[in-house]
Amino acid sequence: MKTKEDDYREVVKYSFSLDQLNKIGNNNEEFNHKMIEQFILSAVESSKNMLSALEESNWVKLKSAAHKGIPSYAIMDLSELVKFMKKIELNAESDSERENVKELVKLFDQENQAVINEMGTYLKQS
Amino acid sequence: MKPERAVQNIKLKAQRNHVLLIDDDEFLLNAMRKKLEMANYKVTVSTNVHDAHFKLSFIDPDLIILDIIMPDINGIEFMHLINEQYSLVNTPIILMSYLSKKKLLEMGYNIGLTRYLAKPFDINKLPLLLNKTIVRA
Repeated sequence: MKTKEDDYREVVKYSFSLDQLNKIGNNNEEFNHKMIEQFILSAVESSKNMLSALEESNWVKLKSAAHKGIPSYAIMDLSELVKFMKKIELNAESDSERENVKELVKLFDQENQAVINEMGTYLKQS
Repeated sequence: MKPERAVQNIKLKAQRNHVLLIDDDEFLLNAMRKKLEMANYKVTVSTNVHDAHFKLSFIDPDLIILDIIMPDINGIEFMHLINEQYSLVNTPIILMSYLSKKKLLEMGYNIGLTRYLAKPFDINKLPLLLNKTIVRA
């Protein structure tokens, strides 16, 4: 049976997917909405923590912040952002990769903001 | 509701295994909670060890799932603390982390023979894993 989410997905192509959440919650829309709201809060925090770590040149904090978000982003099937986080985590403490890491954090933040906006739109329209 | 059905429901409820989930990642915690509740587990959650410590003074879980890397006190130290304080020798504990066992050892976290779950994992397989763990314990 088609849900409201399916109708909306036919119109808009998302970078995130609800497949995992649907499996976890047995296609429960209310659960999905609560989880998306929760994810948005975590995603805002992820960007904030990584950017502040970058500003403080605190590479251990940056590595930890990148690492911590991976499971949640994986559940939302945000594979590109998971790749960014893994690269940041892997190279955060490497002096030779410093410039690349700075660039990766900025790119992550941009992509992350785009996903947060998409999710906000989804919550409003579904 | 028919009396037989009511009795059956009461029996089912009495048989529910109780799991305590401890993780500072609220998104992951809520996803795990939902999956386990749908698999008929009774679930108590804590986002920090202080809250978990308090809850353990009045709940008696059949199994504990505990994140290793958390603020204030790490999961391994917490496991030792609650084992001493609440005599949880017969309560299986599953430690989880996004770090490999090797990396944890390098960081000084020796998890010994404790059950270990590497993040990220498929939450949909969690009920099966817990069933096996509780049966073995």
